[in-house]
Amino acid sequence: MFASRVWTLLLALIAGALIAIVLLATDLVNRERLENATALLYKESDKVEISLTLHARKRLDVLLTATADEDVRKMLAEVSANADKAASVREKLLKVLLEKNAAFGKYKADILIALDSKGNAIGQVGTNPHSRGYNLAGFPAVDGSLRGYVRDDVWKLDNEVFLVAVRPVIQGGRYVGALVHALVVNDKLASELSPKVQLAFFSGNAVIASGSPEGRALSSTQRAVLAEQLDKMLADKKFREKGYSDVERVQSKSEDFMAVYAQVHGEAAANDVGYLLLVPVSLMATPTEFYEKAGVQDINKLPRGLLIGGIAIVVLLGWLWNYLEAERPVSKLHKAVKALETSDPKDQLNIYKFSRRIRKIAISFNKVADIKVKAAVETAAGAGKSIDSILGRASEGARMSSASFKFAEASADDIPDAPPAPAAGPRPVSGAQPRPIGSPPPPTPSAGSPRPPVPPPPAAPATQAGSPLPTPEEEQAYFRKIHAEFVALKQKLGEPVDQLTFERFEVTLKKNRDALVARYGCKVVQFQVYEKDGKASLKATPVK
Amino acid sequence: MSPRFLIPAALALSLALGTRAEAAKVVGKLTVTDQFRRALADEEAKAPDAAKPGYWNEPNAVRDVEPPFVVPSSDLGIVLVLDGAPPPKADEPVEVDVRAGGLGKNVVVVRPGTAVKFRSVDPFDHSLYVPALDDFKPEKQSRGAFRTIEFAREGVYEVRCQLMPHFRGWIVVTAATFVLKADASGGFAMDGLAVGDYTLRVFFRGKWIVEQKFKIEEERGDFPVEVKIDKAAAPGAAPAAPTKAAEEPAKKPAGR
Repeated sequence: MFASRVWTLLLALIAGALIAIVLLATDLVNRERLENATALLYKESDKVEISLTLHARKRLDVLLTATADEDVRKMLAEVSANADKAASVREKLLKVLLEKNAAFGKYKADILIALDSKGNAIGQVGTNPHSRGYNLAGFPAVDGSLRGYVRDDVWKLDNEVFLVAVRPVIQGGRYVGALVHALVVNDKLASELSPKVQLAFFSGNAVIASGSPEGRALSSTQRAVLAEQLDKMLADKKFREKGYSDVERVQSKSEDFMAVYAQVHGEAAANDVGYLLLVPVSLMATPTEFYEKAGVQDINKLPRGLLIGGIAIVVLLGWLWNYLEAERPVSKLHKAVKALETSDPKDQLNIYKFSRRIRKIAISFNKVADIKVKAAVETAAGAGKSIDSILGRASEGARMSSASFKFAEASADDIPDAPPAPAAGPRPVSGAQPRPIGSPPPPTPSAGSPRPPVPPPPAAPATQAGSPLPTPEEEQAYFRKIHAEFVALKQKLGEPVDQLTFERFEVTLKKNRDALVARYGCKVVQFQVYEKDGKASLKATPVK
Repeated sequence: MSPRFLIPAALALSLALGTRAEAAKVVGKLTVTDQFRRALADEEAKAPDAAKPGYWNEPNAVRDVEPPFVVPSSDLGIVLVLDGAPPPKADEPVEVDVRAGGLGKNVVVVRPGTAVKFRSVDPFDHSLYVPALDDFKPEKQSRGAFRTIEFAREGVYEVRCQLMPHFRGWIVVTAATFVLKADASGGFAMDGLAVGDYTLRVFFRGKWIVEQKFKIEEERGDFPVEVKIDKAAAPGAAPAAPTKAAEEPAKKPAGR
């Protein structure tokens, strides 16, 4: 099962790595999106600044056509020289202003005001109800314009915010007044100025106008969330000093967007008037959105052949490991067990044909079979049946599993697992026929196959039942006998025997004997010399 | 009644009235020099704008830009202090217009204890206040509404509007003997002056920029005073110091 386990481990690692990559990719994509939104906001913020600058320039330029008008200049000069003339010129002045304002086209003023040299409003056209009789001297843009400057500004008057442009009116080499062009900041203006993202003008913590390229206004939820953010922003000393903020992420239960704030250029900045740009943030909540949001072109770009091939290879390799390490051994075991159905009842599975777990199963199977046979024998004995009638060659006793090893390479570790003998049979008597008492079994045949004719092994130096273990002399005599048989067989098979000294041979036998005794707790180990694949071989069998 | 009795009575009355008409009178002229206005322009260019400017602020292409205008009747406050005179009484309540750009008179000088009535003549709302003055906190004031504040202690109070950042005006409370009113061209006059040492002081944009001493030695006649407001008086220049004429008596009335 090694390969299967390694394969499973490998697949688990690959799967883990892929999941980690997908999760990382999700984070990466989200971060990229945030960074892109941030970059977009900074870029669009610059664009809005440029738009506002150009818009102011345009308003000042179109205003020139009105301040340069001869009628306007003459009338304001008259009023500046004599304030009482204001009433008499007003009608005509308003008519001219209306014409001029209509000619401004796209930059038509919402309010166009004519001021005399002292800043008094002589007349105005537009939507604002404050028509005349007030004075605008004191506004920096007006004061500046009355002495020659061309200026723009942003004013907050009551609840309205105006983009203002002021130009002086010059007549006879004197400044005789000024014209004030005022544009109300509203949704329409916000939509015009907004290039790619949503633009909103605020006054204090309230959004007063908003727009987007699609003409979409801010939702009430967004306004509520922004009100909180604006409170924080306006309390921020850094924002007030710099006049603009960094891009900030605004999150609430229902809203998630990035926003950047800036003060307007003008007096109204001191009234907490400014603008903000925002873009909604759309982040991937789960990696599955990769698939949900992938387009047809994305799917078409996938290397399908490679993917299908890779999956097929992974599956086939998995199946191959499974077959080699699970199905085939089990099948083999199954076949062996099936073969036992028709074989000699005393036959057992050849455990050495199986490996690892299957071998353990075979060992367990053999044990169970032995127990069953033993129980059957005892039952039969109680019933007066002969053992032979049950086991056939009962005189051979219970067959023991054995282990064979090559002499030259043999070591305790080389001895394969072998089940202990179910019980020690009658022990061989010293000097008796060299075969184990109780008829030690020949080498285990292949499972289900007829047992090959093998000469009986020489009996190990045995003790009488209840007598002490063989003496060293007896044991050495036994080893010499085995050695002699082994040498004889090797010579017979034409193998070299020059290096095969008894001392080395004895060491090996003892080593294997000790290993088997330690492993199985047996008292005696029998060795048997036999031919295997044209070579002399030794087999060790533990006997309890 | 016999006409013979009327003649001496008429003569006596005429003498009495004549003496009254002949009481000392200061007739002065404040002259705001071009140097002063240019110094103001330089100061304006150097000092950071209190309000954030717009995108464009450039001179027109036709005529040179004028330096800031100074209108004496609105921008200057003038007082006359007689040495050793007793503390003055409070003035009658003074009414001041509130406009979009500032107060109707940018500098209003009153004696301690005088009530100033701020009247909004502007179509826009205001919320006037004096920083750090607990009695004059921001309070919304619509068109036509009055708001009266009594200025009990001497001091210079800069009036601001919370709704209009550019708004500036000064209420100057001082224990001057006389508060003079200049006309638009800078002329001023004050009658009924007693003999004594006087100091003329001129206030502009938050501080006293001129201090000029003179002496009236005769009980009758016009005493001309000329005050030139030049570069030295501009903001950023050294504080006002008594002029050379300070120790000298005022010119004797012409033809007397």
